[in-house]
Amino acid sequence: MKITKKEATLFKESHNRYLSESSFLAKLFTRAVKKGIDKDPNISNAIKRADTAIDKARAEIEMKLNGDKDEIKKAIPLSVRKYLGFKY
Amino acid sequence: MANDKQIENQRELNALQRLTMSMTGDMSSMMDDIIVSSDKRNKALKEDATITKQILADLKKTGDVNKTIAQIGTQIGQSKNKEYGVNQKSASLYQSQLIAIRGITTGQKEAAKAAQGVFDVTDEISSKFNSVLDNIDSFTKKIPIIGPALSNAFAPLKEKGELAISRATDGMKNGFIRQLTKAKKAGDGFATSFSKGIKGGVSGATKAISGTLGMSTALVGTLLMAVGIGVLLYAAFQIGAKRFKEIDAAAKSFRQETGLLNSQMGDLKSNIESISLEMGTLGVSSADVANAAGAFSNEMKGTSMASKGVLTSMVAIEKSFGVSAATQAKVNNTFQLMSGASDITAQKMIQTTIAAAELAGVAPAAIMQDIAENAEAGLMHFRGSTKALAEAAIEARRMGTSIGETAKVAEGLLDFESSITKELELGAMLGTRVNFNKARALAFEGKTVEAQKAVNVEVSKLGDINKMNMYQKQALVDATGMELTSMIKQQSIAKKFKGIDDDRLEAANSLLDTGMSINDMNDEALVKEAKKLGAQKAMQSEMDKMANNTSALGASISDMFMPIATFLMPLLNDLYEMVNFILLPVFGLIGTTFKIIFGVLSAILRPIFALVKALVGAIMEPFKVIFDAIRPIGEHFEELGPKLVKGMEPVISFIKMLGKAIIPIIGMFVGDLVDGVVGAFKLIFSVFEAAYNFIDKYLIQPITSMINLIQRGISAIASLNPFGSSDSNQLQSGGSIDDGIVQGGKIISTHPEDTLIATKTPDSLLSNIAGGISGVVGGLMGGGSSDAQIVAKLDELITVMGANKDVYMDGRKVTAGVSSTVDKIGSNSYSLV
Repeated sequence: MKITKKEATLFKESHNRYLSESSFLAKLFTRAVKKGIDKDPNISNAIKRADTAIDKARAEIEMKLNGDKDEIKKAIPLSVRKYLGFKY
Repeated sequence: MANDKQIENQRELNALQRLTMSMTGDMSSMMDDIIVSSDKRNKALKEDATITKQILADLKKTGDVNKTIAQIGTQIGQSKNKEYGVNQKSASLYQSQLIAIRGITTGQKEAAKAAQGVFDVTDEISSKFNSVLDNIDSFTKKIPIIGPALSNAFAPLKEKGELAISRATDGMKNGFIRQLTKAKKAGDGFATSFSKGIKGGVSGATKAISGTLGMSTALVGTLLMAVGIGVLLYAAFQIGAKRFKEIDAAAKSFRQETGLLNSQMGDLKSNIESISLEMGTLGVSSADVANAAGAFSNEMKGTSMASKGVLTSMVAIEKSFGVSAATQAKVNNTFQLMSGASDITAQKMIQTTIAAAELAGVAPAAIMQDIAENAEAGLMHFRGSTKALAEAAIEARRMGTSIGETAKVAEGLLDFESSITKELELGAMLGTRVNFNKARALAFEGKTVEAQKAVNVEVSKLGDINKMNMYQKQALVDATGMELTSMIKQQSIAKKFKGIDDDRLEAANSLLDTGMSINDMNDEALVKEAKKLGAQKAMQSEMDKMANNTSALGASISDMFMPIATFLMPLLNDLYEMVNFILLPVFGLIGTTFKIIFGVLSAILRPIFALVKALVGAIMEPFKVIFDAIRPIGEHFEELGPKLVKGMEPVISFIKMLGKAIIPIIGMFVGDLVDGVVGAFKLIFSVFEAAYNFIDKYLIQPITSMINLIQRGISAIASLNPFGSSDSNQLQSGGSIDDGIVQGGKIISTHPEDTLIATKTPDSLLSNIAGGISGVVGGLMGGGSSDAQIVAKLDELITVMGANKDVYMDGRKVTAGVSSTVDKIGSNSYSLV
């Protein structure tokens, strides 16, 4: 079903109150969550360790294969390369 | 055992894990390639790749990342020292793959930890939000009276809130994982991916909540419900407070009437409440109950309080039979004293007496009034029998008399000597035999009503009382001890109603026989009896009944809400006390502070003001002297005003009259205008008068006094004028100065016609003048005349001068010259008048 612009405007207007209302509650909620996440050191440490792990893996692979991109491409599939932060 | 939340979280984490699995799947394929492509001459690479493949398969199966990381780490370490021979080049690729697998799994492990952290935080916030809703609900439920209703009103809002929070939680987790995975797949680092994940979570939460529509509607509904309940509660409080106030006022009136204290009231307050409610349909109010309690307590001299049963009975009888509470209290006391019964039993006797009176066809209120007013006679003649007293009261009433009167007759009969004498006198007067012996015997037995009856029988034998002469009537009154009117009335009743309703009297007496026993009855039974008695509503009209029923309904509604007031009033009082407790010291402190501040200020400012005052005084002292000096001028001005106005009154009156005459139509307005003009004139004239008088007093009068003095002298000299004229204008001119007296070339006098006297011996002038005046006057009067004649002539002269007539002296007009001189100086103060 396709709706016209007019119908879309009408829908928006009629639901604006609810959207605003939900937006307010969502802001309240997500702000509290974000604050909680920022305050949690375990989360930030985990992220750091994850980044360190993939950085280290990438560096070791490049060193192992002497930075030969073709060899790397041959050894590591694209999805993994992306995951590990290879730009190729 | 994992709960729903953990399962849900794991499901979300699986999305992240799927990415890892997808990559490890790719890596497993790479292992297959290694296994297939490795040279068979050295089996080490194939064997290692096979092991790696198995590790990845286990990971896929168990999801145990830590084990995989450990195993892959071991493999990496072992492969470094292994000799892969012909497969060495492939071994480098394999080793790179091992490193990649370790990177993926380590990343997965840490990402999972971070995601779990996000989930935990989200769950914690969600839990906090829900606990806020729970706390509101719990608090609402605890609010007295309206709590459950408010909680019910809050329920839809709570439900919507919980739903919204639940959806936001799920949205947050889902959005986070999706965005994190997407970013990671796209090759972003973990930090970037995590940030995008959070954004995704926020977006997911917002979208999820948008499904929970109508939160505000629920909120408004809840608030309206709360406001509505609040309004209703307030209204209910007001209704309850009215009832509370009514009962409190009734109790207060009782205390004021009896002098008893709050602590001495016992259950009275609750009795007032319950009785006024239970007997409301009879029109009984709290005040009625309190009044009955007060009357009872006062009658008993504060020694006992009316029980609930007695009070119920009292108000029921009062409303239903019109017997006042005070009367009932007196009768109750009399019955107690006569029979030794309790107040409850005495009240039951009252009920019986009333029922008997009703049965006998006499007014219960009159019976009770009779008993109450003749308590002493009751105690004296009825030998402690309340039944006899009640019977006598009813019988006496039926006869048209009262127990008070019958007792009086009985007492008269028992005064033997006097009674018999009067009896004989009556017999002698009427010429017949009168015998009150039977009555006397009955009176002696305490049967006062029967004695009265016996007297009535004897009296009836004497014929029509009205036909007796005055002396006979007086003898009859003396012999019977009865009022004449009462005697005639009783005789009339006896004739009219002889034998009528005797059965009713018998029935009433039977009722008294059974109902006046002194067996104590309990309070509850009395309440029941009282309610039955009250239910008769014997004296109420239909309108009364309707009004009372309405009132009772109102009282019951008020009573229903009174607990709110009863609950809140002490709380409010406590609150006020608390506020006072807090505020009074605060106010005291503030007061002390003010005292200190203003005390210090006063100490500083007072010397300053004293100094300024002294300086101003010193400066103003010269001005004060000046003001004091000129004050008399002002006083003179004040004095002049009324004088001038008085002088101007004719003019003012004329102006007024003129104004009224010219413009009569304008009437009052013009009058006012004229008054205004007159007032203005007065003001102007008073100013002019003041100025004039000032000038007059301080300038003209001194000058004129001086001139006057001179003129008197001149006048005196003028009167010596040999030419008979005193007016210089009328004197003939002497011409040039050459005809004057000149000595040494200086003029010492003019021509003798120009002057009065020219002398070379001025010292002798005064004696000459005196002699001259005497001569002139003597000559004028013809000489030899007495002083009286002179005075008479002078008086005549004065009169003539006062009348402004001309005076002639030797044919010449004297007054014309005088008047002319007066005109010149502007005053006639020196004239003869």
